[in-house]
Amino acid sequence: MTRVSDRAILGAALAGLVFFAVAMACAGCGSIMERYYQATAQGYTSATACYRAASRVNVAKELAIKNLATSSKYAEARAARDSWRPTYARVRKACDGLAVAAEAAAAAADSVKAATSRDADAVGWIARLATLGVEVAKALAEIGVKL
Amino acid sequence: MNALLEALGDLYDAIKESLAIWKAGNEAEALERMRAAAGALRSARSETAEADAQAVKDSDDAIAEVEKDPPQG
Repeated sequence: MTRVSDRAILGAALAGLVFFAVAMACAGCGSIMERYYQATAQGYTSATACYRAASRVNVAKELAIKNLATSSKYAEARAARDSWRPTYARVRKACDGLAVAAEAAAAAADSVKAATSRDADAVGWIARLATLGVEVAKALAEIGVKL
Repeated sequence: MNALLEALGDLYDAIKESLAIWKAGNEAEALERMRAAAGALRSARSETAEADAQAVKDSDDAIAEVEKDPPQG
């Protein structure tokens, strides 16, 4: 597996925080609901990128495992499989977390819009999505995909 | 290495997409982009699940084949 430096993880985390800062601080970027929809769309897009990037790495890893098995390196193939699959499961879980949160945010949009505490609710959702965005960036960095 | 480059290419596309999202000019447009992004996520989920399942099957089959007929010596 690709070894990931602290710097890469920090870079990934910072990318997520920048996403959060833009959502929170861009007062000239429209209404709170516009920013809410933008943050939710960003959540969907980041989850999509997470699935696609992680899957590409997974397909390559599984092919390498297959090649080990077919070239008589059976023990190495099994070891590689046992090491890689839990790692990939963790990355998929991070992608799932962000995807589910984006879906929940989209489903909650009407009630957020109608709430008297609309601004606070919207900011809470945006913060939740940003936190999960950071988790996705860290999970991708773990398999060598750096932001 | 190729897989990593392709993965980084996907992330680059996502960043471009993100810039478009943040440039949305009004609430209705932002809502529309949110819906489009939801559709893209559904496609990515099913396409990657299919590719992953095939890749896992191929490597499991290769390992099972060796287990069935282990190399001698």
